[in-house]
Amino acid sequence: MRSFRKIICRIAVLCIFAVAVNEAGRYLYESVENPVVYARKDLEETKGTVETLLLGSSLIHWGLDPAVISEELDTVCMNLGTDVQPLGGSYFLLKDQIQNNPVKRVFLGMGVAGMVSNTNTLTGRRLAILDRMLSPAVKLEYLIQEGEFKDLEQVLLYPTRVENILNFDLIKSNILYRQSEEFQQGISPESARWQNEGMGFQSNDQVYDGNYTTEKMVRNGLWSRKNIRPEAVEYLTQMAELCHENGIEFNIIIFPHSYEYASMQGDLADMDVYFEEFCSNLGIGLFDYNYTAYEGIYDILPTEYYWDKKHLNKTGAARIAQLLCSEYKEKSES
Amino acid sequence: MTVNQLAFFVLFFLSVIIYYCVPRKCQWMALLGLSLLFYHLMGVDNFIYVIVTAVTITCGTRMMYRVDCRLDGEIRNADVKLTRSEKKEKKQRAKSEKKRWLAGIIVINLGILLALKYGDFFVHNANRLLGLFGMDGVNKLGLIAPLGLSYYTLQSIGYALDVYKGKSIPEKNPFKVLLFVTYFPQMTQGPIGRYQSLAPQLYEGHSFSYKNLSYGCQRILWGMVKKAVIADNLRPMAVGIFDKWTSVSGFTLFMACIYTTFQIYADFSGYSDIVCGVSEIYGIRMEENFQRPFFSCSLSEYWRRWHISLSSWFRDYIFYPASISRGAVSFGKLGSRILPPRIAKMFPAVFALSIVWICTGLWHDASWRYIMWGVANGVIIIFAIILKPQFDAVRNKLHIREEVWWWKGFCMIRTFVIVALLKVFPGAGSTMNSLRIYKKIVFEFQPSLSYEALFLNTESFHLIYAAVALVLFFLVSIMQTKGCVRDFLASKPVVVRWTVYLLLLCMIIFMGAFGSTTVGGFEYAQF
Amino acid sequence: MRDELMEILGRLRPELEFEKEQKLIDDGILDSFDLVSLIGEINECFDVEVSFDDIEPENFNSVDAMLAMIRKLQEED
Repeated sequence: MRSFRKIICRIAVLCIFAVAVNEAGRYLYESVENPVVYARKDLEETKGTVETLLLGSSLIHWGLDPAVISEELDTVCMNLGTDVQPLGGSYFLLKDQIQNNPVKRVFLGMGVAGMVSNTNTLTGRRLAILDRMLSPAVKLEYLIQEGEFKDLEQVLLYPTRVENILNFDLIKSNILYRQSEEFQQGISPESARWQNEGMGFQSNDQVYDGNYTTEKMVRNGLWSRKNIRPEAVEYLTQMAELCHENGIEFNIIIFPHSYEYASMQGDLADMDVYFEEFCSNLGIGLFDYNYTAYEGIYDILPTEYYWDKKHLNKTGAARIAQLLCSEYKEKSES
Repeated sequence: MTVNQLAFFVLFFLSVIIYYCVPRKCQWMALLGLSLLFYHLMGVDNFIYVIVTAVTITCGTRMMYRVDCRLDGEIRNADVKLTRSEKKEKKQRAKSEKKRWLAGIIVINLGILLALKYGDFFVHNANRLLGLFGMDGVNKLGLIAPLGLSYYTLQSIGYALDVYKGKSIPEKNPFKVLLFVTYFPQMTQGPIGRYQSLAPQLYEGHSFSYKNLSYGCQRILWGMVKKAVIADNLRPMAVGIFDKWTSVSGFTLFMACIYTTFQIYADFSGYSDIVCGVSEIYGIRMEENFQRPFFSCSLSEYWRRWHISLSSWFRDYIFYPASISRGAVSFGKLGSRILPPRIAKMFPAVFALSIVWICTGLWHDASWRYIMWGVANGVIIIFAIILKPQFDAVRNKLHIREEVWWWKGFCMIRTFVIVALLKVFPGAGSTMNSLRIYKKIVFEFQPSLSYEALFLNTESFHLIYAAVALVLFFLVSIMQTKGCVRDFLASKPVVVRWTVYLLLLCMIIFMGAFGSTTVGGFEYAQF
Repeated sequence: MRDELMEILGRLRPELEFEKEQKLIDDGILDSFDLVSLIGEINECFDVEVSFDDIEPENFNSVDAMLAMIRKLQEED
């Protein structure tokens, strides 16, 4: 059929157009200050070698140093934390990594918010996860399972994520920096408020000034068993099962916040009990660094090791990684 | 899922492959299945209402048709030739019987529409009335109207009325009727179709036509430009100004009326282009909703060019019957007693128009501000008809001819301003606020050319995108007055055509507003 | 009867040449207000009652169509 050939030709033109538009869009508009640019490079370069995964929200992304873990445990460690990572996203990231890397162990960072609040509300959060996936099949599965209809254009056509295409300053700085030596070496620009440390980890060397936290600020961080979301439990269980099937060690780390914030999060001792039961039932390793579970945590991680009330800074990220590794080695030996 | 999303287009093109792979006789079944699937994906879990509509319409129309057939048979096969009065009596009886079936259909379907859409409005007002007498109110019903209820109900009632009139032979198969009710491209915001033109196209199969595919895709592309680049970029600013109406000047509110007018026009006509394009790819032509309404010289003309499927439905099924009803005749007789004959002759039309405009306002929303909006439209139109000779006299005295270009231009701008000012009713959140906003526009106008006064704190790139697309929209509208734009494009070489398509695609991708929480849905889906 | 109808139409829209037109409704030459006024006049002048069933474009598209409709209504009465 002549029409059939005409249609195929035109579909081919549209596909080429879509690819061109995406590449141009990313090159011009994806800011060199966006962590995902560096994370993607690392993911491509280390494909096939990653053995240890770090998953979770910004707590992990900024606050757990994979280089320390790689050295202490003699492994290749990748940090796949993303801001407000929904647990469904963690599950599918894990699935994607299993298909592409010889994963042996996983550390999932958890805080109160991940269990009690609905985190899968914004397209941006899902995009951050999709941009770190390697297999198109898993991307599709994640979109169908966890995505919303309105995500598709932003996933497939990068420029739809850009609001102001007339931002010539951004375009100029992007083009210039992308051609620089520093960028090729994976160094993030000075204008960014963080530094790219490699393997998906971005660090911040600001220091938290310990300012007062009000109850209103703790909205999503208040622990209560009756607020636990069923999909959170569901995905944690599925992750444990997936790891079990693939002979992977699954561990949960409960991250400490600054005392100013943690003290307003409700009954964290109850959270410790909840996780102990949950993890022992499913054979998940648990490293609980809540101040209610780990006495003296604020001696190891004082206020100066945080960059804001919740997140550890560069020093803190290295310190908690060392703590984790030494405890992990102890547990493995016993 | 809404029809302006990429996910919809991906699924739609898959459905097109299914539609054309299925044998022609079964295509309507595939279309029914796809319609129900899309209806569900658009957020509807409960099909009970559309099923009730389809079943009641199928039964009612078949019964009316049977009455007509029986009557014909009795008259033709009578052993003794019937006298005129006997024939008349039989016809009257048949008509009454048909009326009973028709009433049943209307009561059930209109009843569903009234209960779901207006139940809470009625309860709210009844409570206020009871409150005046110090009595306790009742609880609100909290019912949710399914997507497209206002549209498919009118479409179905129109079909029933056409069968009553003997204009259409009703369909026996309830599944085919269900397809007519739930044909998915029209389920968000219409257009409201007529049985004679739509149903045959739905039921008969279509073979694949490359031209339909090409033209349909072009129309979808154009609709997306209007929706994503104009409407979605203007909406936050328009809504933002109305939300902050207490702290902005009357001038800014007037500008918001203008932005809202452009926004709603681009939104609704963009949607109409998308769904007409989608339908065209199936080989099915839908009713047009717009005909360059802002090239109108009067409000009456505007309403013949805006939301045409709705205004023509009201004309054919409410205006005409109302104008020959007993009420209209009595009203006309009353008029002839107190007013000069020229005006008295218009009274039946005025009576019918008043009903049409109250219904139009109510159809849009169950609120007093929309009723006022409808009444305002009606009053302006009625006065324009009644005072036409006087206006013409003034124009003649000033030696202005109607066809002169600048007079036409003046009339178009005048119509646009009237339509824009009427947008205060939809724009304001409540009835009281709309009156307060009008007061502000009149008494606190305070014109200013500052950026803040004109655009509030909207980022300039939104304005640039919308302005570029609006200029393009205007130019294309002028081209449309000279002929079909797609035919014009078809005459150009393929490189030129594809440059145009890819440029439009770039416009949508780069300048379209996606990803913000305030954009995406369609304005008229709420009705 | 034809003359009376032509007189009514002439009064309604003096600028139109009704004899030539075949698509008065379909082409929008007569709008809805014209039609309502026309129906009122026809009812009065020919002593018939144009009903909802009769308001169809094919009954009003041309002078001949209107006359046919009026004759039919008179016969039924």
